[in-house]
Amino acid sequence: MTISDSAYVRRFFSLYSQEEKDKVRGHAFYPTDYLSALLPTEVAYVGVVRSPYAGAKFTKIDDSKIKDIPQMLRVITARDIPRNASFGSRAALGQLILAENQVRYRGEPVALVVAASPEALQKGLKAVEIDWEPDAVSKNKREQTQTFHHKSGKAGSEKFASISLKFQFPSLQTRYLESESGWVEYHDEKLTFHIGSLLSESQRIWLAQVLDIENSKIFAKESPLGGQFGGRQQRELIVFLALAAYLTKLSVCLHFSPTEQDIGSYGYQGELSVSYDARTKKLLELKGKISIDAGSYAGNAGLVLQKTMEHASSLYDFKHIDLEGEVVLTSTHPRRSLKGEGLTAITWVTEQLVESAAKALEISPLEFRSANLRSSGAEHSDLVLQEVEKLEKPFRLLPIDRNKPIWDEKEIVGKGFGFQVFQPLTLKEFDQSEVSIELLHSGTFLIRTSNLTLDLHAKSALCEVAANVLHTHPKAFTVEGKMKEEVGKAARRETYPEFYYLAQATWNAANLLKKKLLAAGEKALNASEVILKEGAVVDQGMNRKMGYRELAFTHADHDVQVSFTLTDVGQPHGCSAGAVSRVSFHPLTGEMRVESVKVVLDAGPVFYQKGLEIQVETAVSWAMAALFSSEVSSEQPIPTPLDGPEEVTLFTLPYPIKDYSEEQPDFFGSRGITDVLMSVVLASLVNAIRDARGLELEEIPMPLEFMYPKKKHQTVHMLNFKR
Amino acid sequence: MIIEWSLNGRPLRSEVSPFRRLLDYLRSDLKLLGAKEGCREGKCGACTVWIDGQVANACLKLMGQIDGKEVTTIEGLNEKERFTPLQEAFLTCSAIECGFCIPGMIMTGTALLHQDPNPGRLEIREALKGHLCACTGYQKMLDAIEGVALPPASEGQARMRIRR
Repeated sequence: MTISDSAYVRRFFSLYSQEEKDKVRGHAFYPTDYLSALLPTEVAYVGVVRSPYAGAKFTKIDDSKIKDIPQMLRVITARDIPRNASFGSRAALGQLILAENQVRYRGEPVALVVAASPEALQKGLKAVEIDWEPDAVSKNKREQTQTFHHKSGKAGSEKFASISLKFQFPSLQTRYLESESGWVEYHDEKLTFHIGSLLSESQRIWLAQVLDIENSKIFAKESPLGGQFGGRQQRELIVFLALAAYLTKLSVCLHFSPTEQDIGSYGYQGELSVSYDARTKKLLELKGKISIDAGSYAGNAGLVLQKTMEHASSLYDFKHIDLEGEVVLTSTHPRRSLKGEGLTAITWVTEQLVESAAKALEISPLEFRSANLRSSGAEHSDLVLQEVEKLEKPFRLLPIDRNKPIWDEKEIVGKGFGFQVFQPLTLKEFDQSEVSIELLHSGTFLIRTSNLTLDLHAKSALCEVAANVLHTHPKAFTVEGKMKEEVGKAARRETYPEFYYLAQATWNAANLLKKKLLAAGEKALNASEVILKEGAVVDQGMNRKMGYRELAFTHADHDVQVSFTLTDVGQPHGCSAGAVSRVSFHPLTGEMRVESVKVVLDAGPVFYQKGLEIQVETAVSWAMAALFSSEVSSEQPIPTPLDGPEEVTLFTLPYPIKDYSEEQPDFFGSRGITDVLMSVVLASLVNAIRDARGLELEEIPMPLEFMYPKKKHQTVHMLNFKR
Repeated sequence: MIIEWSLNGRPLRSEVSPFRRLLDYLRSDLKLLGAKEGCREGKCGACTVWIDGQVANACLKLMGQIDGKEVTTIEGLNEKERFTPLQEAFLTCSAIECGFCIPGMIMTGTALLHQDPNPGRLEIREALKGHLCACTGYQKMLDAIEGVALPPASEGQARMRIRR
């Protein structure tokens, strides 16, 4: 088909991708769907035998009884693993994949059972006998492994007024626990994973080392849907699948119920004190001790504790800081730096102390904060503070009307503030980020990245960045991780530290492609004839310029693919945030309600505004989960944003994003946004509760007595009742 | 035990243990995978179905309990060549990320709109409270359901929903 150069070439695209259409109709498949109905029949089932004791030795794993069970295939113990070492830093601490002769925590994996059917697997798991010697001493273990000291400035000789607060912040659990499942295909000594998310390069290398095989024998099939509930990467899940498949030479599947998983953050406790000069109204000293409960293995607890101590002073200019920190090992499940890397655990303490000092000095908490702002390392914090002040001015809390009866009176109300700044202090080691963009014949742009662990939010954000540069809709893009056959660096990092660099690389690649497409378009428009690809719709009635996507339907003899490798990066933008929350308590029932949360955020130039809004919602629900029910065994329902206030408002500081469209931007948004948001929302809620109740909150989750104050003992006499 | 019930408008006679969970029967035996298996304890709402027009968690219902009942899953809600108004609203509001919670939300949202064609935002929030979404956030879902809801009587001249 040939038309003249003035023709308008276009194709009607459906705005929605097939993936979205499937999801909304319930036709999309997830890993659990495979386990329910879609698995090939020859797949075997793996189960995990876990320790029932926290701290115990065992002498023997007796699998003699299970040999008689029909359809039983194999029992795998530590002796069968070529290199029995856990992932990442925990391997250096001695954590094993399967315990060898002792366990440190309840639920530690000891053996794997592989069977041909789920029924046989259940019988097999019950039939494995282990000779346990429980150790009563290690059950209540509390061992100090590392100590740190964070000091700056000099202590004054004079004595000033001071306020101190003991605090306790328990391990914050992943509240959205869902079953996790996946399967591995074994074919020709190669393993292909079908799990909720992609394997990262580092995980692939680790699995290859564990099995003592080449990296190239491990593949991952990208799940187009993420996982179930967003998808998480379960290290236990992938290594157990790999071991069972490799040792039995069969395709295997594994299902973890929520009770088998324990993903919690480090727990914190200690005491902080703040001293201030009542005359000059200046903050002077921050002192205290923080200890971090790492569980059975320290992991990166030391690094997280250092970060916690560095951020304990928040955005305030203390003349003297003296903090001591210790990492403590206990007999609980190994912990992680989940949600907040210590910022959440410490911000509410400092902010409560600062608010108390302002109250003691009888000045406005915002005014007191403004007067004590740090000048360096907290760029734009003053702007955040000013914005919060602006937000607050039109509102005043109405005093209780004493003339009304109390049951007509609405509630006791309180408001509180919370602030924090997160500045990555040092630039971490950076190898490179590679992004390529291709315009396919279907009219879709395909973005391939060197990072394999991109989640849905990260993918959406990259689409948004490229769509901004190419002036088209984000739905025109598909993002996929590119599997590298050879991996140069073993220590390839996970998604989040690298994500902002990928955004930069995407921006650059999109700009390169834009130039290429402009040249190709110009060539096509100046040509005497244009050859259309099959499927193109021609509308000669409209005189419209050819868009980038329409180029895909012309006879493209030109190359419409570009690749950009980012090798050099600058210091990422710091993130400052402030929040003001309102809570109310019913005077009779004591019921607490979060009325509103308003957040001001300075996150640098962020393309993906929707992502930020989701992060604020998430931050509010996480803060509420921390406040009311952080323990996984709790019977409390899981708080979601729907349990939060009706009004959650996000204000972002404006950045002239257009300025960045012509030259390479040095950053795209700051790092650790959710952590900072969560920490300020939690601090503001705590301060609002404190304002309403007039009590200091020392413990999270908030004790019930705090919500429902003890009343006078009352005896109720019931009248005899006869029907 | 033989259970006589109806699934997505079709009468069925199933020989099944009365203690088998409805969710397992739907997913493993009938291969209807629209109701998702999240928490298995009624916390996440991913397995929501209708039983006699009322929303219910399929993971908490046993087959014995649905004898003589009418069950509808997301597959029964789907129309052949078009989306339902709420499905379309979810698409236009970009209320989908990983999509695992979406079938449940669509079931609850549609049931709510059948019950009350113009629910307020608060009612929509209350209705969605039994559903967990870990990646999208809830605002866009609320927007989607609100978008399908009829305007209150005082706002429009006539309360009429245009169906294609």
